[in-house]
Amino acid sequence: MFVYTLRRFVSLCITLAAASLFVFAVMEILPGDPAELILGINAQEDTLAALREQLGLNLPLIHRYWLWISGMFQGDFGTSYTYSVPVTELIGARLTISLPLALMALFLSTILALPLGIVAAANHSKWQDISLIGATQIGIAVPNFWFAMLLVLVFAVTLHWFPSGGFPGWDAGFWQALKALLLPAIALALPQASILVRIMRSSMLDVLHEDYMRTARAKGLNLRQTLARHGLRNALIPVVTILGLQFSFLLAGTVIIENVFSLPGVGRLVFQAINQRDLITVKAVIILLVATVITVNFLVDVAYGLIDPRLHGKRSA
Amino acid sequence: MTLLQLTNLSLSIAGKPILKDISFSLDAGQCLGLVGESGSGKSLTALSIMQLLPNRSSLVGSIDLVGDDLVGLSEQALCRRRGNVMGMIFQEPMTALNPLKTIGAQVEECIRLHASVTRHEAEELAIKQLQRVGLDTSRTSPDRFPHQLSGGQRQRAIIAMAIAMQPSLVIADEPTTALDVTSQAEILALLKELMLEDRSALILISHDLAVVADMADKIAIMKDGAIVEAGPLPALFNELNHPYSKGLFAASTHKPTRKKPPLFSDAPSLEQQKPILDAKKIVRSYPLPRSFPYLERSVTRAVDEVDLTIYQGQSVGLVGESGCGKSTLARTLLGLEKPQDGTVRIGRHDPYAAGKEDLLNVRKDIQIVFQDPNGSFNPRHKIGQSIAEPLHLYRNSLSRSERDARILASLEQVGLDASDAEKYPHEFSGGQRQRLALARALITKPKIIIADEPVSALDVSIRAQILDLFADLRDRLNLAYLFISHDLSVVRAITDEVMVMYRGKIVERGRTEDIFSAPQNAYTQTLMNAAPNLMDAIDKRQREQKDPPAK
Amino acid sequence: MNKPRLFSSPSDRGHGFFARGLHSPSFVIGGLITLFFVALALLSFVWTPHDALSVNIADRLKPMSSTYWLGTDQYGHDLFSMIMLGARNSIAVALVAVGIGAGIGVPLGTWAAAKGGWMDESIMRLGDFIFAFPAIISAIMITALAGPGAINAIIAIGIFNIPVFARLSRGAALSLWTREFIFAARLSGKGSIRITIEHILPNIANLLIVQGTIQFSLGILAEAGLSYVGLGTQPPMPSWGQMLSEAQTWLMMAPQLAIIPGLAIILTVLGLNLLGDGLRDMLDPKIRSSLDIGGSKAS
Repeated sequence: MFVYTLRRFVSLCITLAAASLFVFAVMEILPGDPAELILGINAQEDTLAALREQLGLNLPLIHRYWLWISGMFQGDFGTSYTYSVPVTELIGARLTISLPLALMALFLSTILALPLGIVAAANHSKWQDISLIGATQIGIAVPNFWFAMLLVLVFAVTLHWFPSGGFPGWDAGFWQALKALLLPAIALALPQASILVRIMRSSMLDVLHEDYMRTARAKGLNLRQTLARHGLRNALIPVVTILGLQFSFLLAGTVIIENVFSLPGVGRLVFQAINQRDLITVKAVIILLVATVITVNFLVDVAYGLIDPRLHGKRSA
Repeated sequence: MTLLQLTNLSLSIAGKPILKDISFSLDAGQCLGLVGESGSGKSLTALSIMQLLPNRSSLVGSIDLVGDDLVGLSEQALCRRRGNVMGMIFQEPMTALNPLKTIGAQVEECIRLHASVTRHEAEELAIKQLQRVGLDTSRTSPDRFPHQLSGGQRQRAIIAMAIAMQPSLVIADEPTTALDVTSQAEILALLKELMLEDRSALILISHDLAVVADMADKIAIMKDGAIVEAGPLPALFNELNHPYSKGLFAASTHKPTRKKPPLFSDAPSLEQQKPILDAKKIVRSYPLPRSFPYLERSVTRAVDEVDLTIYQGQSVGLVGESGCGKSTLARTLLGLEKPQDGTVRIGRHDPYAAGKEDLLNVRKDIQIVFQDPNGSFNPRHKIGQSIAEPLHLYRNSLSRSERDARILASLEQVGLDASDAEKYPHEFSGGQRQRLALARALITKPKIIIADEPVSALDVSIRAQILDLFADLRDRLNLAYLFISHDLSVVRAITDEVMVMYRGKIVERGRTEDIFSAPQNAYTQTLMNAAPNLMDAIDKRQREQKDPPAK
Repeated sequence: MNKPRLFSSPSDRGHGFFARGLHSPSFVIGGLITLFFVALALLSFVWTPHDALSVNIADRLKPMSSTYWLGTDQYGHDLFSMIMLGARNSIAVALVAVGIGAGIGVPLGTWAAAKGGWMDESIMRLGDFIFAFPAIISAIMITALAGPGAINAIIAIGIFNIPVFARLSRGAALSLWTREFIFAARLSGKGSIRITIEHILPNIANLLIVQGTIQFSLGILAEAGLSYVGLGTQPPMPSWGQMLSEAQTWLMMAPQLAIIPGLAIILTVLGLNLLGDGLRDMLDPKIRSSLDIGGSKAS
């Protein structure tokens, strides 16, 4: 287990390094002169020069990369060009919305989908299965932002149960804040839950046909015990992989959903930054999102190792 | 005392009749052998007794186990009996254990389910059961996961689960088919011993008459879901009546006739000849996965300094257990995996040193027939196209009509027609596909064919036909064979000389009859003793009957 | 010896496959829905009921009628005409993105499978790496540098499709490479490129077609998402995502403006998914299960 985790950790570090290089290359080298991109082509030469100086663009590339990376390790993502405040502060405030939103959605989708997937598999080809499969077929087809608009129309505009948008801040009280995030979280979670139900179901169905399930029945376990003791953990193995992938999509999805609910999260920040050509902020947000995705995948790999003893290192007597 | 009585048992699945009027009875402590070819319904008979049938099955008749009819018993009542009164051992030890739980936990689960014991007591009992099946060394402790055990060890763990509650009936469905010969002998001996110890009855399901002949008190031969013949052993073998069982018996002991005298390497006629295949001290090694990241890899020698010569017209067998390096050796000889050391010569050329032109010619001389009749052909190509594939070696020097003539000739040589070239692989049976594989091998008019387990996937009766075809082609076309198999009876039937391979080395080579009757090497002796042999088993049983061994 | 009776001759195999399709309700329904939207998209090149781009304030926010089949939006644009143009846009973006994904991913995947070793390892690690950039993140990067546009959406979604196809084709090709007929082909002196073309590709084509329909539908969803946040297709060319974004302001007064494009997206995606399921059911049951995990949402 230790060797396995270590191996995954080394791979995590390599991927992170590669990702940072890639983002650096795309954002700093591809555009030619970032200063010109930020100020536009009509900018004065002396303003450009000043900005180049401020951004450290006169330094050699390797030096710039090093400054960027070492800065990030100290929590310094540079200073936003438009707001003239440290990007760390900007993003930090926004993350308190985006991260809880993604986690809430992941939580909702998991607790909803896993039991439903098991129910569908256990009642394979019966009405429960068929209706669930039908529902997920539609769930997958629904764009989450459209579903969000529908939720707003019904629960905010018509029924007034929830606010239609905006965020009171965590200072306004935990429940108030949670309430503001609930509709967006549901909108994010349902399409992902549909995918997860189908994967849980098919994984469970695959497991049901495994020889060891028959062995378990031959021991005298009934169907329910067999599913619980031998089926579930085996069926979860492929599901865990998908959960990791889903977190990335949920995180990316928040970027879109925040627009529907006017939530001042990272998504809104990045769109404002794009419009204002605030490359420093855009770069910081991107590297943060990518790093999160990579780290989550690493955690999934570790979880995988915990579930499956076959990954601990192969030895056969 | 009758333990189990099946009366007029019929099974249909989704309306399709599977078993027809199965009746037999079994006394306590008795062993019944259930024999038949694939699809004969032997496994479903076993699953009917366990009441573990697939959905949409309907069962009529009765299965009487110690006074209760299992047909129509509630699920709860059945669960109390499964694993407790009746235990089952399955064919595939690789997949029959839950990969995520230790073997100790899996045995323990069975005990805790049926006996009112504390967790700690169950643990102790589980260890005791694992010891009974011979899993008590530190390398096979109860804390091991299935993937850490070999096939034979896994099968022992499954047996430990099945016998944990000392059930009065144990059903073993092809318990040794997936195992090597030596593990097979060990597992069968273990089963015999345990049955005696627990006074349990055993239903032993097998496709192999030899295995059953050695173990069973009575035998039932099944075909197409019905029992065609049944009776006590060994008496029944002398009085077989049904044509199917007679045929099965004949096929199990079949040996193709050699029309020419066998060709031995020390024959004077060979002194002037160069061997068609000549390998000297070849070594093929693989890197093992690193034990720790970024450390140097250690290496395993799959083929270790193997010398081998085969002359035109000679059939040489290569026997050995799985993982001994047989297939790696075959790939190296075929010129597809360069050995790290040593030389291979096919005719005059070394395939690893030959120029492009020579290589094409070398490849025409050596061809292969594989084990798996399903994987041998591209499912999307017509048979004609697949058979003609080796003609690619001629590049464009064959005209279209020459090509077609070759395809036709090949098909005829293996007993198929020209019209078969237009069909797809799925339209043929397993035996026919093996014929087609031979047709493909013959199309370049090779001098030697390497046959890698060519009949292992076939039923006994088909196997006899394919062996006849191999023998006939050898004699007609003066072909040489390297016949690779784990099945000693197959090798004995078809070869002049045999090589025995063990852990990458050839430990013994000699005339087939000599090796089988008087093996010199210790490993060869173990192998020969372990291999089931129908005639020997019958002889032994008849001797025992006349003169019962003292207990 | 016994020869099997000929139940089907090779010539009617294709027919049999199609006939089986007609018995599968998901194939038929999915196929019809997909055909309908493709037809709408193609028709939009030559005819739309109204000029979708002309502003007609007098006829703004009209309900459904015989003149305006689905009503009009806040500028008086005919909604049905816009849906038609949107269909063209969505299908074009998703199709090209699938083309990029398959066109680069399949050769990479089959190459990795054929070569093995460190080449395989590095191609697959590269695939993992790309997976760390969901389409929206790539789109943000591209837009920040080059400004928004439909092409950016295509590239962002297409890049994301590459590892999907690469992984799928590598996995399927790897299992084929261990098959004995491939071994026979190698013995016949065929090289890995020739074997890939003759043996591997025909055997994974079905799998790729099914994955293609899945990625196609995911592409439509992703394009809608990107256009909705303004990273995709730009006005005046209408797209479904952009229509939804505009409709948000009018949610209370004219909810149909949001509901209709949404339904168009749902129907198209549903149709494609059903079609994919139908195709999958017609395939070998063994390769079915591997597909469930292959699909990945790109938005």
